[in-house]
Amino acid sequence: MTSVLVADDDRDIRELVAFKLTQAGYEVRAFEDGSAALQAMRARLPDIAVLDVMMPGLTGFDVCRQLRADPATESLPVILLTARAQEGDVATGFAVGADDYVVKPFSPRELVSRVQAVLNRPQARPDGRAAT
Amino acid sequence: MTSASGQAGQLLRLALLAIITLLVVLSLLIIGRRAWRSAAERRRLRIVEPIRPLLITIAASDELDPELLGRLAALRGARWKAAEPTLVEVQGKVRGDARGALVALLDQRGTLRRARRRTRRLGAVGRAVAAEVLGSTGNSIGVPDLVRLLRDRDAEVRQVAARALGRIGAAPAAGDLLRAVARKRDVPSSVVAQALLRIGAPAQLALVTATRSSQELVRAVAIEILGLTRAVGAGPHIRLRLEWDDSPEVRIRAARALGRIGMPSALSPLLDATRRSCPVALRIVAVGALGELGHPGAVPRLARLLADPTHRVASTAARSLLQISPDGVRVLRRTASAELDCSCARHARDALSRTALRNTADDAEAA
Repeated sequence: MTSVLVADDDRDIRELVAFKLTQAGYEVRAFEDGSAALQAMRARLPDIAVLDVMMPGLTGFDVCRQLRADPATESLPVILLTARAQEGDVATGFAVGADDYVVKPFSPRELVSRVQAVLNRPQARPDGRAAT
Repeated sequence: MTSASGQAGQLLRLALLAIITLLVVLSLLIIGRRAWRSAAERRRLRIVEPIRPLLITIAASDELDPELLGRLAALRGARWKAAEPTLVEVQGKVRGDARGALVALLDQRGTLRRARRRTRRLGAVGRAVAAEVLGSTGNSIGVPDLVRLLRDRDAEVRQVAARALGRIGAAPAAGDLLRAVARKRDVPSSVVAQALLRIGAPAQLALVTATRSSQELVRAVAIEILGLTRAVGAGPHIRLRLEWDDSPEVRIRAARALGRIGMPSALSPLLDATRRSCPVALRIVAVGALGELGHPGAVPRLARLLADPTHRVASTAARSLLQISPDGVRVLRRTASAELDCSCARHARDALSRTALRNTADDAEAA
């Protein structure tokens, strides 16, 4: 089963995203801060991470940077989920290595589609095959 | 004398005692009220906890399940009262049909009606919370109340109302939002700008009209937003402001906006704005805008501006030439490699070396 890690300090968002992705057939682990999420990813790498940007302590941008700087996690697909929709913030998201950027308020159905789309890209897996 | 001073001392002690007593009572009241509110919120959350899964399931649904919606709608009394604030919060975080159904339910149960009434409360906090609720539901029913709150006596309420109008996407309120930046009880221009950006293209007509406002700040904010939203249709209006406005600030924003919009017809007015007879700040922004515009026709002027006596103008000209490839880059390389110890050569070399440094850093990161 494809595993997704979700990190958001907002309980409502965390539960919404976890519910929707579980309903879509993914195994979901949810965390409420960036540090715990990063630790969990290093302990057991998920297939994709969905990260809120504005979290206390480590932001989604910080987590993404650290993932990309570590050879063990550098190719992990990341989707950033945030209320910050200005052009500069979107550009920052992609500059730190995010694969996609979803703006809040978000459509749960659209988020699932984006997770599927990112996972289906050939480079989403180290062996170059698309996820099933 | 002694008796008078004794009496005065006694009065002073009594007054101090009264003040201390009052302070203690007030403190106890504040602490007590906070403790009561905290306890009430914990009670509410305990009641909501078993309802949360139902709420999350509905909010996350692709298709509306009448049975689930019916269960939510059937909540009564204390359970509905407890669930209502959570329902308002959750629906504000999602988009889609499910959200529409949740907002309709809130409307049916009178939540929006009560919020509208609360916008007239005595307390600023109550009015602000009501404005927040109206904004989060995205329902235009509250727009007249929010427009009224743009003139509220409390600055925080005015800001919440402005943000709420942005969240609703209330295009008819765009003019009111713009006028709010220039009033005595104003709304910060950054808050209004964010709200107008959220409204987006539907606000364009009001923004274009506002470029002719008698108030400088209104014109400036309108032009800034039109530039940020790359409103091509507003180009001629912005050009007029660049060429004819009395306010240097408005002209500066117009120059920046024309660069962002990127229409070739902006070349001529931007070139004019780089003349030495123009204010320095305007010249700098116009030179930068020519780079953003990226029109090869700007290269000869920018090349001459490398030797401008104003350092910021010359260095900005060098950076703008970098953005107009290949002609601008060719000019920079030629100027940099000439055996000249003049400022133009230095600016050219500086701009090229910054780019080389940036490229090296990017390559290192990619590797």
